Amino acid sequence: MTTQAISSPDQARLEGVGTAFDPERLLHVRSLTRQAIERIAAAIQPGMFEEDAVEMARDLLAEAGMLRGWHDVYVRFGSNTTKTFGAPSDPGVVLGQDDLFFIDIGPVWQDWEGDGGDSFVTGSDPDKARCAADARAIFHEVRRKWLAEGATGRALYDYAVSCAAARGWVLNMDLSGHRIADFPHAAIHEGPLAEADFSPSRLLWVLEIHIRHPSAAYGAFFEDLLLEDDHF
Amino acid sequence: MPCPAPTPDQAPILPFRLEALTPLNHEVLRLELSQVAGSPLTYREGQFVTVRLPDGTTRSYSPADACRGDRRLELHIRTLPGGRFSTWLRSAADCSGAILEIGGPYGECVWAPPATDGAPLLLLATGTGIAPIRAMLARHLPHADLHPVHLYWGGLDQPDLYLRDEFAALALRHGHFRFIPVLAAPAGPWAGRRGYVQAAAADDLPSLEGARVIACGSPAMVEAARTLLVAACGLAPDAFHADAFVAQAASPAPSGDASLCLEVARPQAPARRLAAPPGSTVLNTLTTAGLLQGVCGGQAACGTCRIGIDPGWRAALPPAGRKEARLLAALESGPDQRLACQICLEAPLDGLRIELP
Repeated sequence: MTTQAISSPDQARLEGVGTAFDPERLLHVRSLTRQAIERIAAAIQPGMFEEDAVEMARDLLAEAGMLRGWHDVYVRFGSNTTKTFGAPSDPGVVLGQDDLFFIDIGPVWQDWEGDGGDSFVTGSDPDKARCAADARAIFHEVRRKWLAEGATGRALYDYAVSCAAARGWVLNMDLSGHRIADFPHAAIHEGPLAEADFSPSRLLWVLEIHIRHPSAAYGAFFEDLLLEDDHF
Repeated sequence: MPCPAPTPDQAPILPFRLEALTPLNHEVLRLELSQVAGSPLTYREGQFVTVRLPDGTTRSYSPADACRGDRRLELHIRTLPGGRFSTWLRSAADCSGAILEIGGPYGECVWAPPATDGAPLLLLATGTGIAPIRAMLARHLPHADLHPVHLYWGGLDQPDLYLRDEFAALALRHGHFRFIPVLAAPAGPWAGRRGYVQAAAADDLPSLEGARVIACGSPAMVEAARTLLVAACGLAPDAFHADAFVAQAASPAPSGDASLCLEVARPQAPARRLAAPPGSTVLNTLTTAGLLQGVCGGQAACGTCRIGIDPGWRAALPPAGRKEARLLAALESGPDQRLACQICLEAPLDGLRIELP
């Protein structure tokens, strides 16, 4: 299969930013986003309906002044964790005692966009715990390849596929990284990181890792900015 | 997060060359496109894509053939007199070989056979709503002989059913497939069924317990079919499948849908009067006209489509739902501000007056 290349001469254009671009503010909204994910996760309990968790997440984001989002709020429970971005969840899914869920938010704080995701488990199912942990671990494996080698976006996702397979998971390439910058998001390049034939710059791209079990109906998700070790 | 989303704001955009344009009847054109770059577009039959013309006009259509991963795409497009897309397409000398941007795929209205062997699968279509049905049949019919498959395709008169011979031939080849053309207003002799597809299907299949229904076409037909088949035939509500977008792309129903009017005031620019198909949102209408672009894909999440409503029209709008109301409050909105993505244009809103920020 041939794929479309985004060549390095395009890098400056594809990494353009808006007039409000401010690295410190972006790092701040990133911090707010990670905090919000943790707060939402802490409020989710077995027995909740996914729909109620989404509403609760919106309430918490509103309290934090980040109700506005450049994409919708996703909280996925159980089998819905295999669904790709934008796909509607099956309704009425209740979080079990030994279950897995993930959160994916893209809040806007003032003029800056955040974007982050993480996965969590209830109970002690070792396979689900490993799935959630592996999404995070694969994220960092790929991020470190970027740090160490200056790998291209395409090489990073080739590597992510192999990392996922080595751990026994399937990587969802529909979620393969993207740009982030100042709001509104529509002003920036919307192509996936996985098609970039250049090494992405720090702070401008998010790395997404969405894995699923090859046959069972669960998966896990982790997403954050491409940044150096001291930010994690 | 991003990439394939159910609305046309965030998916990968792929370039396709317009290879051929063939009239299928007096108003429907077949577009044959070939992908010129990028990974081959793949879709599940029944999903839809967005088509962006060189002038920025964007429309949604369902591929009319099975996905073969061969970079080819067939679309059936109903032209409208004076429409921008239609005018551009009709000027074949200008558009042949043109590069169009295709986004997607989107949507979840795909082949959904009944869970129980022997239970029927009922397919309903009006106008170019037949395109996704044709794609599904091309992919699945040869392997779907555990279920009787019934296709009802409706139009006003015989020319509307531009693939009638093809489906009749398909019925001859597959014993488990029935094709029933239905005309609402035949001008000449017509020995076939008359009326609307949902009524014809309900007459023929009075019990739809265990069945599944896929409906593609005008919103009037889709809603009438949903109501009738659930109430009169015992169809389980969750066994009725339809994609809301089809309202934009399909032929008008025999019940006579007409375009609605949206009056748009703009700061420091002339007012515009836009035509909109019933069932479309105010945001879709504004985006199509190039006046406003949302960010979050119509999810009432980003607030970029907040508009003003003429105070005289405020009471005509359904109240904001919880999600919209919460975002409007967070944005410290006034009583006459709403989100364009959450306002669905139906007949009572014909002539709605709005103001862009």
